Amino acid sequence: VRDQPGRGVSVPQALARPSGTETAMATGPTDAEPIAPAARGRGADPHWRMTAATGSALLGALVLSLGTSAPGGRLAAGGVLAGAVAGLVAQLAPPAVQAVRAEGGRVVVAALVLLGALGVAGLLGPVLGDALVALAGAAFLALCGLALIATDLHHRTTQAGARARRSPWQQMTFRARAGVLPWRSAVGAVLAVTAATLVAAVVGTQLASDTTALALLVAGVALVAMAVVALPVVIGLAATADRARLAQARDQERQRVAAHLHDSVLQTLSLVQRQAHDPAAVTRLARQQERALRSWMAGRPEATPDTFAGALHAVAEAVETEEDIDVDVTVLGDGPLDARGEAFVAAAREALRNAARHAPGTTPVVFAEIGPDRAAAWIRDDGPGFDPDAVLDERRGLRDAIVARMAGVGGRAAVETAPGEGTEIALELPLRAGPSRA
Amino acid sequence: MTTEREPGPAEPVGTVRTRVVLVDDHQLFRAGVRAELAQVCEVVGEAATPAEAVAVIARTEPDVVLLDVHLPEGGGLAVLEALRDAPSAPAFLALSVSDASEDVVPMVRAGARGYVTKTIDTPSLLAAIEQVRRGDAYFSPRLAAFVLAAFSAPQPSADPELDQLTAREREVLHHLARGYAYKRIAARLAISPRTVEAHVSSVLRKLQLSSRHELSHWAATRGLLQTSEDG
Repeated sequence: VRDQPGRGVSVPQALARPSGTETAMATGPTDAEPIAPAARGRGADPHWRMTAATGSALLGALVLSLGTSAPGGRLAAGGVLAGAVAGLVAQLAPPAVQAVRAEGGRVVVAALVLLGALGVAGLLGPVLGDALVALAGAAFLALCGLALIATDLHHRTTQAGARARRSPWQQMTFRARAGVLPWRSAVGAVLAVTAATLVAAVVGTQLASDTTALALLVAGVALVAMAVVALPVVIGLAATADRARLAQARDQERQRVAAHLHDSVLQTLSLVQRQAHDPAAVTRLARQQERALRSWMAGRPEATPDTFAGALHAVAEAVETEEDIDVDVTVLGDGPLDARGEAFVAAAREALRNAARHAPGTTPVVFAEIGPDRAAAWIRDDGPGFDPDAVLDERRGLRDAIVARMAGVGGRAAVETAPGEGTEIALELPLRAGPSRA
Repeated sequence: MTTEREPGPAEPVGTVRTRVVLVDDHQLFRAGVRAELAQVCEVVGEAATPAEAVAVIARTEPDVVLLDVHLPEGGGLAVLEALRDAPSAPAFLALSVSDASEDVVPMVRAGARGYVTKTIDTPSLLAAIEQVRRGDAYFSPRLAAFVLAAFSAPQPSADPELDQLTAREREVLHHLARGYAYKRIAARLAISPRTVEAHVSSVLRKLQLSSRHELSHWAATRGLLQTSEDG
């Protein structure tokens, strides 16, 4: 029954990390089992209950041994300790067997053998003396704690796969969900801290005769030990949360880029493939795409015809598309576009169209300077030019659409051309320096 | 530009071809440029990183180096800075897909004599190479516009780090930005084309400050410094 939540946790992790898929799938159903119920309630997990009882018993033994000096109390403490040890062994046995079956289990076996040896030493306590027995008990506790931490790490490592095996920090903190306490490691840490406190108590008894000094010493050692153990856990949890946040941000960014590329570059590429027979069309597509991508990479919104620069670029692009030419546009400065500015931009578009029609095969150059009190643009082509005094009817558009339009908004347009000299149309629009000047 | 040189029979026999080194991290792009240049220039070396570039340039002593802006390990600027004080440095022509001001101007400030985008057509590229080989500056309309902007400090006070442009230099730059070729500018301003070139070279000199500190300070105060990941 508990298999189900176990899978629920491990399978998405396996999917999210292809490199760890095999190990996670192989060990997931059995190995993930003890951790999964933690999500539902630790009390439901017999392993957890067992560990909690064992830990309480060990603490009780410690309190008894510290609190009483009578031989009866010592005996009681020894009894509780023995019971706790038995419980701990029972608790450790299943994961140990599992770990032994898995790779790297030898460490656990070695630890258990050592524990056994220490247990024997503890039984021989009356022969060896109180202090030595206490020290042996402390070592035993510490080893139990370390063994628990080791199994936890091993468990996480097998779940995380090869990538997480690189550093202990990865092992400590590998969990997709932040905030899940690594309870095995926590219990292990508590045992280790208890052991340190016990050692302090024993050594302190030898060193300090005053009870207050002894209590202070023990408390100090316990605090330091707890801090040493707790600090990495806190850092690890923070790191996990941070990593999850980063991963999420990275994924969102990737999706955003992918969406953009799909809408732009991929579409263009498919169009290019379909029109491979038409080099002119391919060139045009490539040019448009290049411009769009460039402006996207520069962080410019794709269509902002509400400023001078945006509108001039948009106009140039439109003329490029409709006339099938290349236009070289440079705009220095920028400013918000009002109705007069729109007339200015419209005149620029007319000038550019003019250049495209009368100077085919050349690249018109648009240069604009937008300042706080003046907008100016020069649209130049290297075409055949014409005699400005003998303007034909078809050039009338130039007068109406450019010169008259500029005059209508208080600006000025000048045409400079001569046969063989190309054509330059200069536009100038005085701007009133308003409060919202750029 | 109208100064392009016609390759082929017009060239006297025995003329030494321009020796060029290509620095670009895209192998395909180098191959393409090499094919384009084959008629007129001799590509004597290629490099993909600044360190390689410095080594290849020292070994082959080319006339012109086509230098990509966006290289790994420091970018084109690293090459320019490494060879800034070299006794016989070649002429650098910067080359990039980017035509953003913050890419263009620092390259020229650091010693490149010109800047072209990678979409440039072959005749224009050859013209640009020839122009920088002769020791002149190659200012495309856009580069001229950016340089003009660089000299127009945003604050009203004059920039103490930059020698200000003379009215004539400004006028020449303005015409370049509007797409006029040297010859036309000369005709319009009633000066000789050589004088136009001299003005452009003078602008380039004023732009290329000698000390690196000045350069970075100059770029930083104008928001022209790239973030390091782009370098």
